[in-house]
Amino acid sequence: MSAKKMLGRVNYKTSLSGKTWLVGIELEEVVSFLPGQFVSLKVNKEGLRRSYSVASLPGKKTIDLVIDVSPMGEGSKYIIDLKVGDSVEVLGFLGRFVVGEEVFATEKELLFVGTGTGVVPLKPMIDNLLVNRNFRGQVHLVWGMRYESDLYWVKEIDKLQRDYENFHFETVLSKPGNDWPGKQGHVGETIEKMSLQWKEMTAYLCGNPDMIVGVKELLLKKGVPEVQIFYERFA
Amino acid sequence: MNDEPVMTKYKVVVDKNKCIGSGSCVDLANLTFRIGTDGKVGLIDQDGNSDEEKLLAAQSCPMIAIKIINTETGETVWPR
Repeated sequence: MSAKKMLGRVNYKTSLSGKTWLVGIELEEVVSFLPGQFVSLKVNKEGLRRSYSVASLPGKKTIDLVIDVSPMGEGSKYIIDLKVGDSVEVLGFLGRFVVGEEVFATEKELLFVGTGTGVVPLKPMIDNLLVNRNFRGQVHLVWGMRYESDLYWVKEIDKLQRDYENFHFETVLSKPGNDWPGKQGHVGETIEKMSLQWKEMTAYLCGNPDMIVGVKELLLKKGVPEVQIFYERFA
Repeated sequence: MNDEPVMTKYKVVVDKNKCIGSGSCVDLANLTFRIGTDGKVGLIDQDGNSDEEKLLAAQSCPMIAIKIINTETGETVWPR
């Protein structure tokens, strides 16, 4: 599967939360990629590109991108201005942040940690494991966000938790409202209290660089082998 | 992608401090770039891929960690 330029058309665009958009891009053919990979969109005439993780599974003509436009840079402005029917130049599929084939045959414990839109590549990785590959090991997702109003996909992920008893999900808010019933603070504090098979597990981290550094350090302290910690930093 | 090296006019310069090892450059120009043991991109061969492939690889970098210089004119082709 080599990366290539593809032409796409915006099929749908909806707001998931205040600053986060779901953009569906229909490509010319059914596409094949590995869950967790990203695409690069051309966002101006000079050829500037921005990378966005694919939120959907392969095997369809349309790919979903979930994009936080709060940085308000060139990429954000491009996404905000995109309209249904617009043409998009997509370069993909890129990146190595994927679940290795060797994991599927095991019953290892897997920990996924995302902050902000860092959850976007993790969701299709988990869907693929549970729904498509019938993975039997324990799968944990810890998702850190600031505010409750930033959250999306909660119903979908809750449903996954109901349907698969080996899937466990924690949302952690760093700035929750008074009536937030869930975990508060940073993802590291929640992971610190988890009781997992640390030495056997594989971890996938995605989000801001500070979180990656902090959680990686914590996991190493817990005994997770460094070669079993994979991460994708979001700028 | 080309299998055989070709003489190219674009020189690539990698800023390892910016690189986050996403690997998109390797996906697009795997005869020029590789991910090293430090998890960051390194160069295999300046002429490993065509100018077009090297430019696309640089443009795909989420951190804009790859600079492209036209050796004939001295002009910085990317980032502009």
